[in-house]
Amino acid sequence: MRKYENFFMVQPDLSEDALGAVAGKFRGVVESNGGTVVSYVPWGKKKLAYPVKKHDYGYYILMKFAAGPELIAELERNMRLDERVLKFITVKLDDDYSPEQNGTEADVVPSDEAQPGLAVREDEDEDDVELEDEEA
Amino acid sequence: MAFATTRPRRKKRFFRRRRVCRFCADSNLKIDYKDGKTLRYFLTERGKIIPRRISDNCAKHQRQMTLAIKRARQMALLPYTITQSI
Repeated sequence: MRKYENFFMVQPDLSEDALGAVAGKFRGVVESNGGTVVSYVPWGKKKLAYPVKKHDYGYYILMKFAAGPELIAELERNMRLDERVLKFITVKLDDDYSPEQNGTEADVVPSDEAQPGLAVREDEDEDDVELEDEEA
Repeated sequence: MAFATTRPRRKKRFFRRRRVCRFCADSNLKIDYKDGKTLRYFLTERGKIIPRRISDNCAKHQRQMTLAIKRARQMALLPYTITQSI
């Protein structure tokens, strides 16, 4: 079994019930094809960097699961057919993974902030570029 | 600095502060395509990826960074381009 994550985005205006239906549907697709859902975390509504199918916002959901490679095609086919799903991406996290051994993961929604320790250097960069030009 | 003896003709030697890749220096920092806010530090205002010579990433992390940015663009977390209105 491999470990995958599927990060997908559904229409922002879905009701609680509809979101539940989406969760049920894709969990079902994974489970009925021999996979195991490790975690299913709704990240909530976010503003999009560009409009997608006339939507300015999207509701993001991250699903991690263990499955074989055949399941991905089936899951992505279902996502493509479902009009509520605007975009999705599947990424392989681990080549060899068993959900029984590793247990389930905590359902943590990451904070909206950037990671600390990056912001400092913005203005320093500029004088460095000038130096490089003169050197050449 | 190592070239100073072999190439004496060059008089001006501009001091370049040696900087290390911040992802190598701090192992707590993660490159994740789902983390749009962090990836934004490595984009210009127009949404282009900042080159390695300016961002000071090492080759390995720049590679991971470009992959993450491209994935984030697919998911509409980052822009492909920002058009300036005239």
